[in-house]
Amino acid sequence: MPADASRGPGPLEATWLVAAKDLRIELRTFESSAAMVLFSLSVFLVFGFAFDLATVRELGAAELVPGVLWTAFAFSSVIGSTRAMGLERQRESLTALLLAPVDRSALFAGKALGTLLTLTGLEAVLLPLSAVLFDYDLIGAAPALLPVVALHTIGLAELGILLGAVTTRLRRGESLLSILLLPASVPLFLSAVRCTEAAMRGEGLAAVSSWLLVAAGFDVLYFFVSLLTFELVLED
Amino acid sequence: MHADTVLGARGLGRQFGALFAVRDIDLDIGPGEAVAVFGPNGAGKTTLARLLAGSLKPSTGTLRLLGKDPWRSGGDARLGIGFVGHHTLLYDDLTARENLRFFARLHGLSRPDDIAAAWLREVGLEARADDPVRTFSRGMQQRLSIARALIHDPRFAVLDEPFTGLDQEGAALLRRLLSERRLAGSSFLLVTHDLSQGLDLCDRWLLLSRGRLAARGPSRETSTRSLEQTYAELAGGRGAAHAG
Repeated sequence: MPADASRGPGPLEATWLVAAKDLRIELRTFESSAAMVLFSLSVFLVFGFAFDLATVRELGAAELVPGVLWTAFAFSSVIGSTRAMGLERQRESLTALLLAPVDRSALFAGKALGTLLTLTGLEAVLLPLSAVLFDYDLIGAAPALLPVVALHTIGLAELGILLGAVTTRLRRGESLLSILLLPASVPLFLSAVRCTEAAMRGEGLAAVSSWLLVAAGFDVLYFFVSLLTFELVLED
Repeated sequence: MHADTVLGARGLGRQFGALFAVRDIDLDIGPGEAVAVFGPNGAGKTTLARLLAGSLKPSTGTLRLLGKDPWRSGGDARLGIGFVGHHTLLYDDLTARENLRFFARLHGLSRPDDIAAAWLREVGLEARADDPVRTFSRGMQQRLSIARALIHDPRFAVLDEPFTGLDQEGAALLRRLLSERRLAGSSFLLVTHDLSQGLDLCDRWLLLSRGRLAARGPSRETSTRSLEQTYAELAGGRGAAHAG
């Protein structure tokens, strides 16, 4: 069966191929999503019990909900990144990816894009749920909140995949990932909580433009560091 | 090293911590040539297979695959390489067809659906093409793994114990595929414990012991019995001291 390729797919096509493959598997198994939703619900319930609705109303949702949301999103990104890299370890399919004629940075971009889209799907479920549970005006906050969530989720997905690639090669790598990912993404969390707070207060994003710049800066930094180091990280 | 050499290794070695799993490997493989690698457990065969496929970075020496250094030449240097390893390198939650289509696309093939369908027919999995791989027996997964490795018609393939799990029909299929590929000018390196099968399928053989090439020779001039004798002498009392 003669094949006809004289070169591999370009970086963008390879990125999409890897991401689409991960999404197809996720849509078939819901392995990451189910774990992420259950974990996030637990976080909401714990905070819901700790601060009843009267307390939330008294303090104002903007004081409490951003922390709750980003705690749920952060740990969900650990679950998503662990699963995304674990998938490639199940039958060592990572070796087949590494032997494919594609730029290895496209493999990183594909894994990060797949994780980003999975996290975005989770957030599409969790944001309305949190609005119901903590009684805040999601529709009013949405124009400012959605770009804030997107900007910070990009950074989480990038960092999660890079560190996931490091820890997936190690024994007990899953627990190590949360130990590494959470401290490494502290600047992103500070920015995420502050910007979410501003969005929920209806202050507009201009009030937190410096934080948004910090987040965008970290997104770009994580992206380029990951592109440059992913091949090294994956070497045995 | 000839200009048309498919594989050229000089002083190739790989160290894990303080331990050299493979060292001082010099090897050339030409177009259409097949080489069998034998050796006792722990001799370093799998490490050598991974080094020669370009999936494991060497600690020492140089490797040229299809005229390029696979670790310095970017993605296109890997275009003509196929690899069958101990694991299937497949996705359990994708169907057989989806797996082959994915790898066909990843290798830049222009008609991935047709090529995947043709390979499913070739390896006898057409009837189960749309079932998830996790429902397959080990032998069926191995057939699919072979299709995955050869789907892009690589000029050089490394096959590490490819007969594992295959039934008689599957083993005959693989022997036929390898013979056809050799006739078409493709080369392969076959790691196996089956001495007669290795001698039968390959032009040359190498015997690995303690990570080094301990003996080598042409298959045509080697009988299974004499090779068994050499193998036994080298394997005798050596212990499995090295990562394999």
